[in-house]
Amino acid sequence: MVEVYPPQGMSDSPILFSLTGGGIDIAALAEALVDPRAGARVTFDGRVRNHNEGADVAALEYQAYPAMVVKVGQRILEEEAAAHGLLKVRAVHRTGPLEIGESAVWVGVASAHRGAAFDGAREIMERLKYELPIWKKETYTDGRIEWVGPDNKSAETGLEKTDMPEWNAEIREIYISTGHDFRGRHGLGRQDHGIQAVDEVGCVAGMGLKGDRYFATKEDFKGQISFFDADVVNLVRERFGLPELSAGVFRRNIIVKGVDLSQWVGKRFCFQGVEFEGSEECRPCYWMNDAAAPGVEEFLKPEFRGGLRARILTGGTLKVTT
Amino acid sequence: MTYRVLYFGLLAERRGMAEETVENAATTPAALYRELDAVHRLGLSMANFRVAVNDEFAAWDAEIKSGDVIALLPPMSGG
Repeated sequence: MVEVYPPQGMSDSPILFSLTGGGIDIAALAEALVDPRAGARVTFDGRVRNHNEGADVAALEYQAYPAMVVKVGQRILEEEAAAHGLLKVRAVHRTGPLEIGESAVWVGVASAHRGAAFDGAREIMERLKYELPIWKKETYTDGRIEWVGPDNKSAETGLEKTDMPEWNAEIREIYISTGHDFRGRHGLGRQDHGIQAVDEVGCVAGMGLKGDRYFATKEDFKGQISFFDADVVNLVRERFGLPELSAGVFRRNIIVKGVDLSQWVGKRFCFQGVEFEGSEECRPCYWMNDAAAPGVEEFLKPEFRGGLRARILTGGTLKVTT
Repeated sequence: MTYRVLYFGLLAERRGMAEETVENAATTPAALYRELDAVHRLGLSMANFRVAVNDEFAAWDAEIKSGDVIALLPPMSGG
């Protein structure tokens, strides 16, 4: 059991945060808020409920970073006491395993008038939820165990959860190029900016890939990123007898394995924590004959072999799967 | 440089341990996390979670020195 840092309840300090591995002594805490100058006392008692997000909760456990929790908790209470003119403040958070119905967090404030007491207590509670280095793990009656994010947001991003489908695919290679080789070069011959294989690339929402030629092309640009199927690379290698052909010659950004790209036009999806929206097929053009081998353009036309162009909805990093 | 790295919540689960000592040339939490992420596939984006150095929140590009305790703090969920 985690020791109580520092003791709850009776203390001369007007403002005191503590973390405990045992029960919360609500009576002692409430007593510590008594102050003859205080016309208002507001307390909040946050308890473990038996359901969350439609699932039945069987057990709950908090993990804490004790040395930091106490420091951060105390700082929040002091800042909010100063901001709202609170006379006395106590707050306690539990750590370790808890049962349904137990108090997980308790906040109490005393002030001269009710307005400051309600506002201060609420503000403290909101900050404790997001700023205390404490993590909640829930076990559901169906056996599932899950780390929970703040206010049931994503435990991975802290952002609102989406029911966006996730690509269960691998990234084989990533390519970026600093300049256009084909675009706008009709009748002029290709440019040769080269293409760079990288291990990872930064995706910027609405803009494109960092370091790539299409970055910030224009607002709502359809081709902020392009995906190309690793299987198609192999098909071209076999069909045209070019076993050494680089996957970079197609000048698509992300060479993926394990996803049917044709299914994602007009749909949103999440891949390696980054969100995208498929916009259209990355239709092959005649430059492909020049870049790879004569006939490759025709070969890439059927079955969505040209790949997928997409917009980037949230920022993040894509990495080659190792 | 020698760092003590603390993992919590989802990151502790993905790493399979709560703490470890790491020898690394990184001089910022960002550089250190990038390397740990590359080796252990931790999968969280630095834009979405916080880091602490010696028990205080720190910037990802803060300077760190040998002997520092680097705590990786995925989105917190108290209350």
